[in-house]
Amino acid sequence: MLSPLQKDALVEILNTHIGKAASSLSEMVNQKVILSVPEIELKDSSDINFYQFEKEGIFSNSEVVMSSIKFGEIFKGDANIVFPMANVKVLVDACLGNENEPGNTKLTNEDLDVIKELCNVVLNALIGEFGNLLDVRLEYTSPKIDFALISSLEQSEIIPSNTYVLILYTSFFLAKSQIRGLILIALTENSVNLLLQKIDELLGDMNV
Amino acid sequence: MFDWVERALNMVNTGIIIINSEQNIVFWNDELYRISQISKQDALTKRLSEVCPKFGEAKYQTILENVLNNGQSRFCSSVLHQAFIFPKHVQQGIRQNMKIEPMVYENRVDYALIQIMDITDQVINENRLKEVIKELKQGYEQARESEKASKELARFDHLTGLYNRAHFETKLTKLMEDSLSAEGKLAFLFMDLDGFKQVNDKYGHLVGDILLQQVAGRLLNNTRKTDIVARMGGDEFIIIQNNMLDMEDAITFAEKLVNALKKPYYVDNKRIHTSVSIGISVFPDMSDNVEILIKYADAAMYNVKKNGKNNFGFYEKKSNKKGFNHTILD
Amino acid sequence: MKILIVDDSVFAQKFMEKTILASLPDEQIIAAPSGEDAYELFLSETPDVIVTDLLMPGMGGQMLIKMIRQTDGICKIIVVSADVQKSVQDEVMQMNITAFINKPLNAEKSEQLIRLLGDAKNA
Repeated sequence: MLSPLQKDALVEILNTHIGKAASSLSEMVNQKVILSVPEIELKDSSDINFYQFEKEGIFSNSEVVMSSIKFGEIFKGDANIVFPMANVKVLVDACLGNENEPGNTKLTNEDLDVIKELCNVVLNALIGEFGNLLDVRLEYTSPKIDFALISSLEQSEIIPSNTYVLILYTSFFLAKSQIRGLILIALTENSVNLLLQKIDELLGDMNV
Repeated sequence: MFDWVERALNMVNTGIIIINSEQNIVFWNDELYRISQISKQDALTKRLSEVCPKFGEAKYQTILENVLNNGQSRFCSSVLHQAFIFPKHVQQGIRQNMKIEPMVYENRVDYALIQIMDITDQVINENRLKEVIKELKQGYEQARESEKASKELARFDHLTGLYNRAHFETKLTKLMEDSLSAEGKLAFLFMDLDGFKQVNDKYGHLVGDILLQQVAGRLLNNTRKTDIVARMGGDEFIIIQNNMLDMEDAITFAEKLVNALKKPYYVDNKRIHTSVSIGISVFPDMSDNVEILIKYADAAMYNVKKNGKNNFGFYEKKSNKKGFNHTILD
Repeated sequence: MKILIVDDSVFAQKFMEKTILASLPDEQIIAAPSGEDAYELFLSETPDVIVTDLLMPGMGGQMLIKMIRQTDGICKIIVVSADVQKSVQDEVMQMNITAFINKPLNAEKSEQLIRLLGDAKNA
């Protein structure tokens, strides 16, 4: 759904936004944090099959940790950040500078708190910057965090029907770890149009 | 009028603060007094950062501005932030989670709601559990280490670090099994130091011990990893030369050892001379029995001792006859 | 003056090109989408100023700067990056660069970039 130029522009914009989140995180965990979104897709929700995410190791019959916020009104949607459960422990250990014991994927309450905050910071940064980009005021719901087994997750629980979904394949680099996660932003048709319009505007400004 | 809502807010186990868009405190519940010893009277109308200095930090000002100006919610974990509100001088060990949300009315954010959840006890319990698990693990590791150490004590001679007699026999058995299927033979070199007793008598046991260590070092330097080097006791050593192809092999090896061990030793600023007498037997040519092979090598060594020492010799079946002596030309 | 722009985003490249040419229309601009390509251009074209991003796949900006500085201590280097962490800035400033500008390039930062380029020209 995105032309190569639109994709390039959007990736650049998203990486800039997420750079701010990396900065906040780095302050909190006292180490260098690199967040990057090297690849994105924009798809109609009916075209998404969760099996496509298996190559990311997500949603392949394992537990996931998911955090979501809803936002609106002019730019309206649902943002979810998803990590396979195994990655969460690695990520939290990297944040806290703990030794990671492979195979130990038990999450303590503290681990959950850390991941909750992390997801909060990342989603806030991303969605907040969309607001700035589009020059609109956004309202948000309180972030939710869930742990679920994919088998019990209905696709429609994560991706509302009749939406367009911006899929961000995201990488977190901390200490010596690289952790991959997925950010799914489900947008209404109007919101997608708003976004694409803005991008075309920026591209047009540059006579590209 | 009796306000049930306010009463309820004062009963909950969460600290509740409401600030206005200028960050001044407009509500402060009883739980906060319990957490921080700061009373409503002291808190109300004051700027949040004045009452709780932590909120004055840039990091938190940014968060508060984000809530008040952009309407975003923020959760702060105790893991990354420790605590936010505490009695003066008592920050250590207190752990709190915090949630800050905008209170939106008619599209404006006039107020923000701050919830402080004290999880100190929970954290203490979790940490205690972690400590217990860690200690159990350490205890287990220690038990394994000491088991390993005593196993090693049982295998190595504590003075020289060479295999002790018992372990030597184990290793040798294995070597013999392997050797049967391989090309080469095994040479048994049984040796003891010439004049060691005199060294001990003259210089004392401490020097004697150090000398033994140096001898062991020279032996190791002149053998391969596949050979076995063991101390049988006192100043007696045995080396099993692995993969011996012919007599020449064993001769060359023995020569090397004799030459190496006769060079002067320096212990405690003293220059000490000693040498070694080596008796050699061959497996499987002379026997396939370990005890017999050692006996043969011992006999050969006795012969060398009788014939001038500082030399090596092979076992000859006729023990009365002068054994096959090989003289080393200096 | 020859200016080399390095960024893996075509969008960002074009944006900077446009911003620069709007105020300094006579400058010559070359661009590279990766650290590796940029280094080759640095060797073959000897630009006077290099404007580079940091976060790029393969050879990143920091490595590029390090390599350039091994043989050239004179050419001006300006970093334009979304990475705002202090530790990164400190690391990069150690490598004798002219300035570190945070993305996104708003009006104020664009002006800053132009000013820096102007200084480089007159230096």
